[in-house]
Amino acid sequence: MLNRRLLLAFALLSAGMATASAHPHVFVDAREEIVFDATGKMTAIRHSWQFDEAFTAFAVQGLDANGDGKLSDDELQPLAKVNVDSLKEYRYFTNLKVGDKHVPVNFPSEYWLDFHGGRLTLFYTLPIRTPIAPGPHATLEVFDPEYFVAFSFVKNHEITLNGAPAGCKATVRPPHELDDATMAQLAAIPADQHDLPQELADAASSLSTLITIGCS
Amino acid sequence: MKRATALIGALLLTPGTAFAGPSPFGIATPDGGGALSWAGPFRGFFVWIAAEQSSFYRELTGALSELSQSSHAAWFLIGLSFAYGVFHAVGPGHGKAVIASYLLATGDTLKRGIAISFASGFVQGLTAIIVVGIGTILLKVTAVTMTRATDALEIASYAMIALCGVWLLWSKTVGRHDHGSGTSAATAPHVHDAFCAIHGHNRLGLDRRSLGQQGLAVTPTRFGAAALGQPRLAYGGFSATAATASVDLSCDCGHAHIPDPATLTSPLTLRSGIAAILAVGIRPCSGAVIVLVFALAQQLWWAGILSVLAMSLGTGATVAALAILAVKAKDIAVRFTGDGRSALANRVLRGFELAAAAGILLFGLAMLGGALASG
Repeated sequence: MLNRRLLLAFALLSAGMATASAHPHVFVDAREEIVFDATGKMTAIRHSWQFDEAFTAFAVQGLDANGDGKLSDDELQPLAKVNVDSLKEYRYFTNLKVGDKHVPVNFPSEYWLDFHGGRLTLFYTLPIRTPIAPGPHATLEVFDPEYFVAFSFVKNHEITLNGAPAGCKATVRPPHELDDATMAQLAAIPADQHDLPQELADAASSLSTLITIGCS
Repeated sequence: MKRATALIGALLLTPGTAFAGPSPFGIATPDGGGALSWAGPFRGFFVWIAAEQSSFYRELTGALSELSQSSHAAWFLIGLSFAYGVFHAVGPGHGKAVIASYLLATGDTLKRGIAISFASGFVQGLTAIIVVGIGTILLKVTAVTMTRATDALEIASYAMIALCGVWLLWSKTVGRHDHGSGTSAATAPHVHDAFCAIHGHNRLGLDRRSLGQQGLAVTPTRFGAAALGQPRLAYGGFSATAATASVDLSCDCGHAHIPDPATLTSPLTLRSGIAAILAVGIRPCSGAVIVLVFALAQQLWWAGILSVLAMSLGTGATVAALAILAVKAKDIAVRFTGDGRSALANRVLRGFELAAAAGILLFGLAMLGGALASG
């Protein structure tokens, strides 16, 4: 039945459109730090997230309460609080795993915003609920799966291990960039084809930077 | 326009109307949709769309920051904004599904469909300009307050979309034989105005500005009463006036159930589609708001406004493309079922209309529920 097929096609089209993805409006240049205690256990994750100029302009709008053209710590602190309060629901976009086990964190122990050169940076520390040694294989991902926030990492400053025992090493695997060829391939896939070829599916799924920590 | 300005002003001034939206940093709420798509079959496509948008958006903000040094950058900026709008609208929000379904449900012509699509994009840009204009220049509010205002507008938008669905379903089923039986035809030429309930109020001689100050909280009730087609509106101190005024307060969501003389003489008039346009356009998108504030921070308000208008044009183009697709699909389906007068053709047509109306209602309710639950 042609009608039924048309209806189905339209329904599929509508469904596809209605569930379209979010798009990034916040661009973060991130630096990460993992703090170790004397026994070699990880105790906290320190985030340093520098926002892009446009989002910064939006964020600082109306914050210069005394109108002196500068943003003091007092003027920025309420926004920092709003930031970390809101991030809680997003699990701080932070996923630390030891082996395959997710490591839970507590509410930030300290947080502040710094405004410099037209860009705002959010600094905050996430205490690890139960300090744990990374062992041979721990991973840290900072990623927004809904892609409202696009995280990228400051080259050569992606991760710092603070106070880690000798023999601990961090490596960074950059996200698999979607190259032009892959993009063209993705664009060429007809809308009614539901199974992506494996290599395309892989390319689309590994958009986050993966930080690996290993101690021998 | 005045009414919209008053409403948004009131929103920005009233901390009580705050609906906390889901936003990672507490400011700038993501535009609807979200994680769903990342698991769907179109994942790869949307990843690509997101990547394209992302690069256009970055170039766009980059062009804005370089604008003060080069005047040639202005055209570049406008081009980028348009391209961004095109890609941006493929993402969630922007009411593509709502506008397309609305066109299916009402059986509007293609020409009108395209006009309505562009108008919805334009209104969305305008809302962003009004929110940011009032918020930053007049009231000097913070990003947190501005985000609350846009979140409240978002909820209003979803509520209006759901009510459009209710009305369309009503008029396609129960209400379809009641055409012309109301008193409205006798009392006044039935002018299809924007907010059905508000237009009811206006007929009662209520000052438009005061509506804005009453805030959003009362809006759902007003719409609720109006959408169910109740002939009289008992609302506060105005009920007595309403009782004597005997006007049709039904929210027709633009579907001309009584041929409006204005619509007949000028088929392209947008008036009858205004409810749908507003339902979609009343919610500004975060991208436009951020770009505008960014432009204002550099004293480049004109560039910001041009950029947002170009974005609106791009958004309108994408919505229009989908609207064309939807209307064409319906036409083909109807054509294949007969010459347009056969019983089967009528059934197919009616099926389309009912499904589209139900779709609008479900979409509005789902989004409204989601927005309220996360608040």
